Amino acid sequence: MTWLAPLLLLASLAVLGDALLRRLAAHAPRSLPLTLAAGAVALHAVLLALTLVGLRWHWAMAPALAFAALLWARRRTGPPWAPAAVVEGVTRRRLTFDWSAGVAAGVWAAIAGLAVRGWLVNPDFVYHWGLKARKFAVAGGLDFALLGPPSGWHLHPDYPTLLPELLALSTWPGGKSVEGPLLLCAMALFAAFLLALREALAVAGLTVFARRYAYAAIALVCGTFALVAELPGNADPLVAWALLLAVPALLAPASPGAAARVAVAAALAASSKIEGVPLACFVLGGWALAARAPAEPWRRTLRGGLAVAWPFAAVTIPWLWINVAHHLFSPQNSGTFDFERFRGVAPELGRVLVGGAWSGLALAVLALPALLLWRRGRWAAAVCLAQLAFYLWVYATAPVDSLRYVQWSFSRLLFHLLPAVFVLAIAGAADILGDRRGSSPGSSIARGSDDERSPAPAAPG
Amino acid sequence: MLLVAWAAWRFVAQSWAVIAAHRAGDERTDSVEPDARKSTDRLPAAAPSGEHADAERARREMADPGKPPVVEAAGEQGDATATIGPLSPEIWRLDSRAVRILRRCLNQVQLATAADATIVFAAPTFDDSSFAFAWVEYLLPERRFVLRADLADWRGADWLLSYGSPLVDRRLAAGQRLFCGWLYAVEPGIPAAGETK
Repeated sequence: MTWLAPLLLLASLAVLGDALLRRLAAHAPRSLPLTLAAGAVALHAVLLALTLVGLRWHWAMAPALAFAALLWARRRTGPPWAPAAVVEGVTRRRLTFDWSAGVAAGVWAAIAGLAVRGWLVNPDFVYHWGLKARKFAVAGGLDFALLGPPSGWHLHPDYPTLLPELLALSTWPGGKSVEGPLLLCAMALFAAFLLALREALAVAGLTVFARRYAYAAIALVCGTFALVAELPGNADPLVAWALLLAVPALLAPASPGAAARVAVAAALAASSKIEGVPLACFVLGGWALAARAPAEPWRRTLRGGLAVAWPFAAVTIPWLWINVAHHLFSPQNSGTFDFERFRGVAPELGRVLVGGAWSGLALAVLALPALLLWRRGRWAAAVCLAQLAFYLWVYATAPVDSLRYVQWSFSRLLFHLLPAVFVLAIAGAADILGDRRGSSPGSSIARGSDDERSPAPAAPG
Repeated sequence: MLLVAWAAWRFVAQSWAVIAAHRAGDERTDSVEPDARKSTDRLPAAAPSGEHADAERARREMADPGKPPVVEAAGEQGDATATIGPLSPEIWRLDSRAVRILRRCLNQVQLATAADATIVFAAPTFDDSSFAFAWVEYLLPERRFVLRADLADWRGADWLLSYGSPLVDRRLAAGQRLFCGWLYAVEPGIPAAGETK
């Protein structure tokens, strides 16, 4: 029975997210990673609201919400539900299960098998995410007796609580809390990340051949990093998932459903980790600027950005309120900028970039400034670059042992960005090479000769 | 094509490394990037030669609940970590031997204490007991544990769990030996040494 709980939760999230998107963003093409993200964000917002009014959570909350949303949206059909990337007009046939999907499924199955057995679990799962989840499950809500004491610094009491909430609701009521179902739930979120990666590649304008090889290669590289850094049970894949969800919308900001996609991606990032909050701001700002028409007044651009920011606000304002009311913010989060501190860690940053965890592939972040020159991917690259700059700023300001901080976290923080950077680098190269040959992949598909290529983003409007 | 083959080879090699590390038991350290491990100096010293014998004895004793607790092997006033292993809780994993023993120990705590009990946790053998504390909280979320440093006067505490070493304090009743340390009832109303009632 304990294994049913995470499956029931995930099914509820998918149904809830699908119903909400049908109701609130009727023109948004839906896909599994998007609906799962929407469902998770909606559930998180409800749980935070319950915390604010002092009500306990219940395991049946997710299925009940899903059922209610289903009733609410029963008359809204929306665009056809598709496996992936319908957002840009890719047909079902093109994203059926191919060999690259098989590779990604194999990567997922291998990691999940090791994780569920408890052989591959991040220490932070015990000190942070899993511990919060188990205590929240017992307390029926956020456990402030756990988060409050100063000795709980390793718990990061000020972090957003989406992952612990989902893990807590993966615990079967009354049953003995065991790791397996919790880690299965965490791995399901890793699967959503892999699906979002596939979607992002599908809109990159690659040939089918290149898309499949790129997907297999990136899934294997990310999977290897998940093994090296023991990612299962950690919230880092959620941030990477959020950024990948935003990539199609940033590449085609005026396409149908782009606004809903950005809104969900920003809220997911802000619900996952504290560093997801600035990422959410960059995604929202980047999208608003990318969608801005040349002669559009700035006030209208700002209004457009704020209009998609309400899911972000719905999860961020209660989180801020709870942290301030219970004094949960850690003093280690802020400090004064010290260039000497940054200079001290710069060699270590370089060493992580060329080091073993990413096999040197992390050097791809150095391509981000060049990607700013690529017109279609400019804003997506700008979002990644801004987030990278934020991480470097944190290393230069955090009043902790900066060297150890870099050694411990930088390769994991790069995981938030690198999957999207890989997609952008490949898409940029494909666009530039296509232009030099006189026919970009996107333009050939737009003309209808798309047998061998994925389509370009849909026309604005 | 070459990139995919290379990435697949790396993935398989790393998966095998995880499995091999699990098989190696507690000698496994972690999967942090090797260079980072070196520089952060998080690797434990090589396990002492007698540790495998201790592990085997602990396994046998855990399999037979009738036998005395594992900590007895360390002597009357001994250090339970001598049996549990020298590794810092910071690098324990779910499949670590120390964690298996701690699970068993906390089952004893759960049986001995009421659901609403507040238990002070102390780990005198560690410089930083917060990671051991996190493990205890993770493995027994049904009880409220408070780190000793957070509750200096033990006010409102019902029990004290001392991990590894015994504790002597006038506020503690006779201790109960566990697989990982000692459990003491906190006597209400008795001031600490040097305090007046």
